[in-house]
Amino acid sequence: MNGNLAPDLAAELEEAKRRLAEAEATLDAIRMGNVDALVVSGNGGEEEIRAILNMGSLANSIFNQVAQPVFILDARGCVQRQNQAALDLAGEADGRPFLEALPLRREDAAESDVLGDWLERGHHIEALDVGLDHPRLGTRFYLMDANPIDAGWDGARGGIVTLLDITGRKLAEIQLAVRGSQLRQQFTLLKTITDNIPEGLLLLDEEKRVIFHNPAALVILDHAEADLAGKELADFFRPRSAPEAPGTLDLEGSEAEAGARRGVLPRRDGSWLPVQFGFHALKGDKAEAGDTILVLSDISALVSSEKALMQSIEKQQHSQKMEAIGRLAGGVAHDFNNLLLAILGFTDLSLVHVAEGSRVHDNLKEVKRAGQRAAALTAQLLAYSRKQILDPQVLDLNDAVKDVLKMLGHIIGETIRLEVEIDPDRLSARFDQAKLQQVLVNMTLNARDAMPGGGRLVLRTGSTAVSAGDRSGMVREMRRESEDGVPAGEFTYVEIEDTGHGMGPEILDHLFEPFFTTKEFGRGSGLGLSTAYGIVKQMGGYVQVFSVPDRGSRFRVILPKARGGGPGTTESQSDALPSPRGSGKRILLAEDESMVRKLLAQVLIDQGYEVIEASNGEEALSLLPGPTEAPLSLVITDIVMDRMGGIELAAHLARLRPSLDILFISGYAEDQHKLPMDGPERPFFAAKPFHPAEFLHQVGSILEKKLLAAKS
Amino acid sequence: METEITSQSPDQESGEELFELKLYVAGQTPKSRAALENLHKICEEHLRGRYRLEVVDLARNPALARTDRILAIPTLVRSLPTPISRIIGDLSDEDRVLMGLNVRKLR
Repeated sequence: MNGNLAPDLAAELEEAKRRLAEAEATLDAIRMGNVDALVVSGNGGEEEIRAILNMGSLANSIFNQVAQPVFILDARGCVQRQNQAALDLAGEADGRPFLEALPLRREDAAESDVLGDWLERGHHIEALDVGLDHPRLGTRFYLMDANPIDAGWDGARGGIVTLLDITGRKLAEIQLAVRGSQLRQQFTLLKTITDNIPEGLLLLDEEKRVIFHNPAALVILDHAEADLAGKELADFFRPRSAPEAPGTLDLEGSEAEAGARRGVLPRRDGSWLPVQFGFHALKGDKAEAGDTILVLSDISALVSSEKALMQSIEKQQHSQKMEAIGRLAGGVAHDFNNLLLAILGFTDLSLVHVAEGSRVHDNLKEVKRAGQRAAALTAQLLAYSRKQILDPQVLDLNDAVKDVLKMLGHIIGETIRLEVEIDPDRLSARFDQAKLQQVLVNMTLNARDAMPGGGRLVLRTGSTAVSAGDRSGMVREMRRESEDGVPAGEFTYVEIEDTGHGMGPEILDHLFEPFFTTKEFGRGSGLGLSTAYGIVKQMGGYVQVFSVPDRGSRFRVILPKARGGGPGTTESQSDALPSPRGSGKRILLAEDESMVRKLLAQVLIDQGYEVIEASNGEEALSLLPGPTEAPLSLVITDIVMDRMGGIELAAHLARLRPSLDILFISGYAEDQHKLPMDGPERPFFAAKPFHPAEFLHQVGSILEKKLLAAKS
Repeated sequence: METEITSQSPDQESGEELFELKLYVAGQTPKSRAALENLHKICEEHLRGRYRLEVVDLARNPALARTDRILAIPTLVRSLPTPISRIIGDLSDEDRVLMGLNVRKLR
């Protein structure tokens, strides 16, 4: 049996081995993907063809059709398979180390460490952000997933790497980030603007409730609460057209009006703030219909500067008006001076020839007095136009004050009592009487205006001595003083004291500034005290002001005491004409006003001078004596003449007759300043109207000086 | 068309053994087609005139698988010369096929 059995068993064993080998080969072929169909036993034991039809090629085509690059790596990290997308990205990488094959951007080189780490340890990588240089598409961004493929034993470990192209998403993210940051920037910018602009902004809804407001709005509205959001505008915004205007401005329809409106808003301290406001309909995608923005501006500075500008313009107009009047007055005075010169001159000439005490003599004296009053009037006109030249003489201050008292009485009116305290001693000082009187007039006007309800005005003269370091003589009880620094010395003074409303420091500080006035607009020029101050300073004097609000003011004009030369020096000069001493000296007289020329010629001829008369500069030049004739001793010329004035004539003479003296005469005081000042001495000048005796005296002294100079 | 037999008349003069081959396929699957193409090529090149090939389409008659205990498709069975040998797959690896058929390479 064994002998039979053994061969059977052996054959069966062989058969079994063969079958096993076949099965193994079949499994191998299946595992390797070399077959695409299997034969299986169906439910009824029948054979069926099954299943893996086309499986390998399907996977392969799927693998290749996947748009994402996919790499299959072996256990060493080398590329074993790659799909079409991976081929496009990395080129043929079969067998190359994956890290070498992957076209990492230089910036992402650090990622290769992570990948290397992964390859070593077989960890998962999820969504690693990498930038790769695609040979055809340029820089692309990918999310990399890497997973180990575990074949069951370590030696077969490999990996699959898939790359998801997220370039589009990445770009969108970047754009989004940029837009986000732009929006943030815009918001920051807007907030910075709204937080810092001086205008108040209030965003209002359709019901006029506050949605939003900026900090400036709170300041302008002077609202106690820090947040107005949700409040109704009408509860706290009630502008009026003016503080004194009752009710509030009608805001209805303001939105339609494009222009901003002005009004005032009440403040918690009871004052009113001038504001400008405007409603603007809100436009834009996010705006709700009916939303408006209220823009509020504090225009207090604008309003006050507008006011100041208006005042300045009106002051300027006033000043220009004064200037025009002054010019007119000056012109009239000039013509008057020529007439008065003739009237007074011829009167004087006639008086010489008429017996004193006769009827004609008395009449002529009356003519002369009238002429002198007219001359004083002219002087006042010139003072008003501020074109009078300073003519300081040593006089008694008491006389000057007494002289102006009557005029001051007229100025102050009936409600003010005028008291005069004249120093019994003579107060000799050097001053210009007309100017000083103008100063007193201006100060009296000021005192009068300080006492609208009447009061007392004291005019006081006196003398005082100021020692070094001492300001004695000042009244101690006065709280505020505005004074010049008076140096040590002896002084006379005249002061005007009133019982008016007085002045506080803020007024005293500006008292003498031109155009400073506390008077109602249009009432004062603001020039009175500044002119007075200027005149006093010009005369070498000082002004002190003592004042207490509601108690009164005292203005003191201080003038240095004059040494020598008793008062009334001019007055003591005789009106009588001096005795003849012309002794045939030749004088050329150029004067366009024939009446004046005739008078002056007459006066000079009467004194024994020989006079050549010319009616203008050109004629004067033509009448110059030749070399064989008797030479000229003096040229007397008017400054303003039609055909060549005195100054041009003098220029010609300086060339033709350099040694010849010239005496300029003019009715315009300021003409004196036009005279050529380039010579060694001041030019000789006589202002019209002058007294014939004065005139002759001046002519005589010029000729004498010349004589003395010639002798030495 | 249960069984399709493709044969070449044996070359009597060569005096060499006759190869009796049977290729089991399942219709026109890619590997079946590839196997047939590859086998034709190999036979024409190395066994010209001394083989007989029968192609069995199991898609038409699965029961025929039983004869040679076919489990995977495509499978080539060499019934002559004995012993019977089989090669599973699309026969793309020519060297392996020749080795499996025990055919000496001509070149």
